Amino acid sequence: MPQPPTPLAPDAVTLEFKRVTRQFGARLALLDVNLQLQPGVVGLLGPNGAGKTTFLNLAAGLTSPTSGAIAWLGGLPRRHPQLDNRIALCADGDQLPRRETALQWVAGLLRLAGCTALIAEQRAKQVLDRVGLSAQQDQLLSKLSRGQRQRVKLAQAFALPAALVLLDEPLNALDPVWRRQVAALIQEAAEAGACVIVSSHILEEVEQLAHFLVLLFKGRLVAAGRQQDIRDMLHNQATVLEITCADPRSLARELLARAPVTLVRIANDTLTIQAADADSLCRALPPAVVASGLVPAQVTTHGDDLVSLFQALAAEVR
Amino acid sequence: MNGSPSSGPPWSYRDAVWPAPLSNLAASFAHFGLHLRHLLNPRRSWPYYLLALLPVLGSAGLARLAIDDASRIGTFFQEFAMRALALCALGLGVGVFREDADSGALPMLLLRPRAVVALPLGRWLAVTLFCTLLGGAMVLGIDATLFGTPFSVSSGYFVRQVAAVVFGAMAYAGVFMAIGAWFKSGTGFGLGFLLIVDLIMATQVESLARLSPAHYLAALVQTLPGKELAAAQTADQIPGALLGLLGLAALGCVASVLRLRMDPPGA
Repeated sequence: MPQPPTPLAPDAVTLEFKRVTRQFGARLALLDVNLQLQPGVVGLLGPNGAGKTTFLNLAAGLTSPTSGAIAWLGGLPRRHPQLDNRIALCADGDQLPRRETALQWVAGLLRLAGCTALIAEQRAKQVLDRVGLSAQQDQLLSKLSRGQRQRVKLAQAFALPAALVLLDEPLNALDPVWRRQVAALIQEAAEAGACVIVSSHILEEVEQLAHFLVLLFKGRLVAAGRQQDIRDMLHNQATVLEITCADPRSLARELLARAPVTLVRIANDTLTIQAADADSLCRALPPAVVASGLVPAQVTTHGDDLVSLFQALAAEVR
Repeated sequence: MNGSPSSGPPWSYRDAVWPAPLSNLAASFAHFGLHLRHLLNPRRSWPYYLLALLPVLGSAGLARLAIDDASRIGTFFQEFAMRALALCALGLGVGVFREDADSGALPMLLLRPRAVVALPLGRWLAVTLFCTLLGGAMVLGIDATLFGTPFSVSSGYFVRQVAAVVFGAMAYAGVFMAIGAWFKSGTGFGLGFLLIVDLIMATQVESLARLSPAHYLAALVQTLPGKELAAAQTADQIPGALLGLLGLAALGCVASVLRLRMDPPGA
């Protein structure tokens, strides 16, 4: 007779990637990823095609690495009985079975997890109510909006208290109200001891949630660390400003006096200026504008966004 | 329309307890029940009801022509009813994983504790039962329209027809489930299987005929011109044919499990 899994130590390593590489034919989806994750909210960041979904599928044990190994909950292999019911996933697809109702689908998954029919239905109703779908619980999934289907997917992921919760772009299609509600749900799971991995390609989306960030770019792990460390990397990377004004030469002079400028280029009425870090350049710009007495017609920044950080970090690890 | 956050009964992530996971057998039956409910939905399955009706309409036409050659009736059953059964199994079999893979639900299903083995087994059983019910209705319909009662020709032949439907449904469901698991365009590959393996190889290439359900079904129900219907096949062919069909079904289930373990579709 199967027994419920025994609780783990709260500080146990929930997920460990040991030199994990995953290839699909000739395409390299992940390369030599080494990582240890503990309970809490982890933001998995990367532009489209970075390998986030592959990372989550590997973390869920749905696919196997081409080389390397993955260990769960302090070193268990994927098929270990102690992992039963302890990994939850909200996958990326946004369709779901068209001819089932939200309640049927969530309750069905709970029954497959081992709940009795009565408890499965009761729990499904509770969790659907928690995501604001009690009025839509008997509607066909095909009749629900994309945002509502997203909430149904999240409901099944949070229906049971898992140790590892994997959420692939969970905030997609949600309005601001539900983004906050889902964020609360994620925090609740993390406070209960789960490691919740939230994937996104938007830093701002996860920075409110995650205490730890993992950055992937073209299948490589380019950075992993506390949120503030990643923010510092972002602020410290080379930033380019393009300023359109009547007299770019005098503005360039003022900026050169105030910031560690590494490149200046003037073409017609546009000044292109690069500094070693974004913060010092942005701090220097207002006094330089005041001192030059100019009114810039347009200011454009390059290099201070997440994609630029990914590219800069990827160039470093190459 | 978006709902608003509820202020209803308190809900907590912690207030549920981990249920003891189901055994493999119980999980298979749970998958079976859920998938059968899905298949029995008339909106889902009406094309298959119509497909099952076609051989019955054909036999009604045959009855009007007053053809009483038993071997032709056997050939009709083999060629049309079994093809209709195969087509039903093709549509339902390749869809076993593909629909959930395309909708993005399969990875979430596969994280249920026993899913990797229980999911294909339970769903294969559901497709087999559904196809058997359709095939059974076809047998009754064909025999009733041709002879007025299923037992008119011989009870032995009727039993063989039923065995052909049950074991044929098992084999075709297993084979097409595996094709749907391994190939994204499973319907095209399934039709290719029916044309190349079932129609050509089963009759032309003796060494490869063992891969074809039609080869074994012919041993069960096809009659030979000029021979008595019930004595058309020797009795010693039947266990081999049933074993062959069971083997193909098992092969399909194993191939599906392997696919789900290695690299599930849609993940």
